[in-house]
Amino acid sequence: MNSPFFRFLLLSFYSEKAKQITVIIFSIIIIFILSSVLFLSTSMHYSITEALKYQPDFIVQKMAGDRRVNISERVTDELIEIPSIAKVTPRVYGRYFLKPLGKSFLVVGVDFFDVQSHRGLEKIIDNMDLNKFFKRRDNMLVGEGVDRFMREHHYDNNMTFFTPKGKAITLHKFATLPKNSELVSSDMVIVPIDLAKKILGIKRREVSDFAFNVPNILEWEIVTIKVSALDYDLRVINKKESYKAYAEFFDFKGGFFLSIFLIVLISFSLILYQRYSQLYSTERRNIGVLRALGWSIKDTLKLKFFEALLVVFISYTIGVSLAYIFVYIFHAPILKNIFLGSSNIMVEPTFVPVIDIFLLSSIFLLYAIPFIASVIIPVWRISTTNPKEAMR
Amino acid sequence: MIEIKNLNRYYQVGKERFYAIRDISLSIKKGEFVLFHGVSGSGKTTLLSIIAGVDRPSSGMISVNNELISKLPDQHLSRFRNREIGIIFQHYNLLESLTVYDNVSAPLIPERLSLKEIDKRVKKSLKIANISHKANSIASTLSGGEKQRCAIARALVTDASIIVCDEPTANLDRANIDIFLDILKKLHKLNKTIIVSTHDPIFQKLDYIDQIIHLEDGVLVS
Ligand SMILES: Nc1ncnc2c1ncn2[C@@H]1O[C@H](COP(=O)(O)OP(=O)(O)OP(=O)(O)O)[C@@H](O)[C@H]1O
Ligand SMILES: [Mg+2]
Repeated sequence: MNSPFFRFLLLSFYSEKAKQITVIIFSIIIIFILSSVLFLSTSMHYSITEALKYQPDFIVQKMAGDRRVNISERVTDELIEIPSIAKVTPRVYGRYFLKPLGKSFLVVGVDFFDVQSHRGLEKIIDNMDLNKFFKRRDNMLVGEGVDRFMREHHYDNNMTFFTPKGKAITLHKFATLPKNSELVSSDMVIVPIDLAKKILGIKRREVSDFAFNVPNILEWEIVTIKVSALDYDLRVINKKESYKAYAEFFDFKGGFFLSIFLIVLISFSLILYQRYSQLYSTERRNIGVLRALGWSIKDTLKLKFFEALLVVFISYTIGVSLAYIFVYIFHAPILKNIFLGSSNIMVEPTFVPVIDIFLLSSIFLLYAIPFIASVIIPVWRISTTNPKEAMR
Repeated sequence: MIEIKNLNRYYQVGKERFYAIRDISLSIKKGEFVLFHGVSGSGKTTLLSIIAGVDRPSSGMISVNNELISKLPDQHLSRFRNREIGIIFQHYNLLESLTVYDNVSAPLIPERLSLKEIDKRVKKSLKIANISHKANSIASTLSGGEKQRCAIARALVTDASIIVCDEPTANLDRANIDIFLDILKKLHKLNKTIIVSTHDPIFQKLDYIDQIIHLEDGVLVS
């Protein structure tokens, strides 16, 4: 690489700055959109993987038609009989509706003396003074959304729940759950199991469903078959299916955005192509002049290639940086709503910045290749015509 | 030494062939000052372009300094243009957004010279062409005469042995024509082969013309 060449490249680049800036701004917009979407979806992916980590491998539910109904505690014994199932956790949870306000809380019953069964809550409960908690029989832990609701409605530290039979139970707020912890949603109310059963109207010997883990993934299939065979109305859900549901959602959304991006990119390339092919006659003439002065086809291609590379490099750096700031610092306003839509299966993204070399190089190539091609192909066509024609 | 035999250049217009030049044979010795004379459309630019290697003949033979240039592949033909030919186009064909200095340096870029060597050669050409004072002006801001002198400097910078000028006086006023003729005379003394295409009678009065070639509808007339 001879330095006069690069000096000439920079000079001619700079001398056409108005034209170059237009191209660069368009490029930045395209790269910004592409990177924002990819950053956001990486974030979502990460968040979901993290959230699923805290979920049990298997959930067994009893179905009546297409509705989940409560299940007898005795099923535990049948599940335990199955080899590779070591421990079964009965779960008690349900929505508690505040009819006049159209609001609902998620009431969760927790066995405070078996915290290992509640992945995600372990840390919180471990740090709690259980003696103090059980000094009162009416203590509850609330998510920050519930906490806010209580303050707004002047409940102070006590809130009254009504059982389905109409009996009032007043609970006392012991503490607010820290936010941003996986598995803790802001509308959660956590109470001991027996209290949860009362509030939700679950019979004493029944629970909502069962959860258990099977460490060896190779056994999942056979476990699923065995559990399903216990009774005709059992539904067995394993984590793989949740992954699949999320993955399908992402493939759909990702495909959608990718097609939009491709359409934008293709039209942009076409515009560029047109510009270099016909509209931009000075460009044509200048190439012809350089050729007439003794530049070979290779020389002019080299000049225009590096010019395009310079545009790509500047646009890429700025576009990716802006997207990084937009997604990881401002948490992708607007785009987040477009991307997630009204979907209710979603976990809130946690926006952990991940510098993914593969992702960054994909963005680079997805942009650089069509861009450089749409510049170089017309330049090549002009360069190969004889200089006299090119200069006309 | 330029040798041309039975040279044709035609354009395909529909099914017909339109001959811009037809069956041209001539020879030009080193250091000669030659005039291509003829009315508009007679084929002067076409012939000049083929000699300069920016266009290729349809048939016939052309050798420049013993090189059969019509047969050369691009890489070699480009090199030939670069080393042997200095062209001054009718419309100057400057890179309008660059400075005079950078325009003049353009032919040297593919040559892999040092910046210092380039600077030396550019300054020398600017001086011969009498345009040093505008070295840092953007080409688009120059007057017609200045543009032409910039084009001359660019044609000289590779120290080519053949200088080709297409209609050099067409867009100039009297004063600028005199300046141009002065520069040409200087170049002639430097033993460069000079070929000028023109319909301007002013050249015919010059006493140092070696050969006048008359073209009419693409054919030589004596
Ligand atoms: N690309 C082309 N396609 C078709 N015809 C062409 C082309 N280039 C030149 N010609 C024709 O060839 C003929 C000779 O053109 P040329 O430019 O050599 O004339 P000229 O003597 O230089 O004229 P002028 O004094 O006006 O510059 C003209 O009739 C022109 O129309
Ligand atoms: Mg002409």
